[in-house]
Amino acid sequence: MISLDRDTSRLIDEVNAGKVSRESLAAYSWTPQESERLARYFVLARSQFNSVKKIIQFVSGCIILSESASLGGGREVFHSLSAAKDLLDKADEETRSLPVPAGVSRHHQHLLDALSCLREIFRRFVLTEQVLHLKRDQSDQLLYLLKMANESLKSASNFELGLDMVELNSSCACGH
Amino acid sequence: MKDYSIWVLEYSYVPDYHKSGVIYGAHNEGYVKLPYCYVLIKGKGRTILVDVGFNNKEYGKVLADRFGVKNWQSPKVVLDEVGVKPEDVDTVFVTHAHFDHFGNIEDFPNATFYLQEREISKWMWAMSLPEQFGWLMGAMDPGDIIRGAELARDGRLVLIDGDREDVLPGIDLFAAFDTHTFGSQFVRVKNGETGTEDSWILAGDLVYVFDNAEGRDGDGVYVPVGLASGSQTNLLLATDKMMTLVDRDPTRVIPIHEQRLVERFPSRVSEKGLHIVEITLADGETSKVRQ
Repeated sequence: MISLDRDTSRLIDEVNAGKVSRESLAAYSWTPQESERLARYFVLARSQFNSVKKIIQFVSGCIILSESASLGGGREVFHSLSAAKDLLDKADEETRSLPVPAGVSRHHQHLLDALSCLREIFRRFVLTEQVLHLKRDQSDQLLYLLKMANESLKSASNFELGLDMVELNSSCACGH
Repeated sequence: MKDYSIWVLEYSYVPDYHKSGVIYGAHNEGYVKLPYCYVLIKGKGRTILVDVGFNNKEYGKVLADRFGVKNWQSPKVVLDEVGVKPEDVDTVFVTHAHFDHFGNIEDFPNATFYLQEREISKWMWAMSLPEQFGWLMGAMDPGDIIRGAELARDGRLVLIDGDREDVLPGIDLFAAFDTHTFGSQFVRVKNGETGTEDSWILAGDLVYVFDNAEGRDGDGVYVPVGLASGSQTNLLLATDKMMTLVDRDPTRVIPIHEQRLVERFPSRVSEKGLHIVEITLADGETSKVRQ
């Protein structure tokens, strides 16, 4: 049998590479304490993961609506940006206080990187009225940061662990 | 006189999709093949797509491994079967923003995309709800929404507010709010001289299969699709609106997830094992399915 350390190490590699499978999870033999710590981390991380995803979607949606504010999108934009900022503050604080078991620090760092990009967006742009009047170079910067945040989040994503970039439960795409 | 040709192009499929997913209430009735398609409309100097499929680079393998989605082929390969390149596409009508309809944006660099404004704004409203309402936000890929924002920045995303007749000559968009999604829409193509006698409806996911519009036994009693963030009532009303727009001829409502389209219209199978269904041909256009 593979030693516990190697088991954990391999799992962490797989998680970080987004390759962990149900079969590989079942193959590991952890101590109850190790198992508990990892499970706790990923359960708690799921909420932060979903928050980051939601903030990315909020800000992207605001840009889309801001291009057609004449349709009445302005009201939703202001409301959504305010909600996104509140969510960001909460997610940032909770992610930093997550208990991170040894070895999953890279996964945790992906979440922090995504949050860092999003904080930078809110730091650079007064995302209230300004988002309705972005100049081209500003929207380029904003979209670049959004894409960076999305890439970091993708690095932390994993369907097996419930960290899904796309939730398929309400999708016409899931075959089973 | 027919101005537009229409082809339904399969780009992937699920061999065993649960039947209750396509027909509301069809529990424990087994599985059906669910083709994934987009629709090509060609005519009047225009090359138009209805939806663009999902982005295989992002989630194709995950979907294939976990959810049984098979044989995804790129727009380049799929469109080549009918002599079109992705760069030729100048217009895309997005029926709704689920990732399997709105995912391949970047493969169409010269297209302008049309989407209902409500599809974005009400989805954002849903996001602002507490976590327990998370189901309402499903199937939207953040990467797609970022790419949508890039389209908006580039002036290539047109948000529509409700119905838009003659969005292009002879082509109408009709809103179907709070149905399959918050801001779904469907497309009518008018080929007839007077504008309606030779019309076709491209239903998006408002009608998955024939049974939704024609009844489970062909009895004409509408049955909603199996997935809606809006209401079943609204789905039925949207179906009835489609029927009204085609003089109540159900064969003119085209459901893109219906495998039996190949039995109703001329078709062939490509070398990749995917179906090409020819709904109608414009005057002077050559068939892409008949030798």
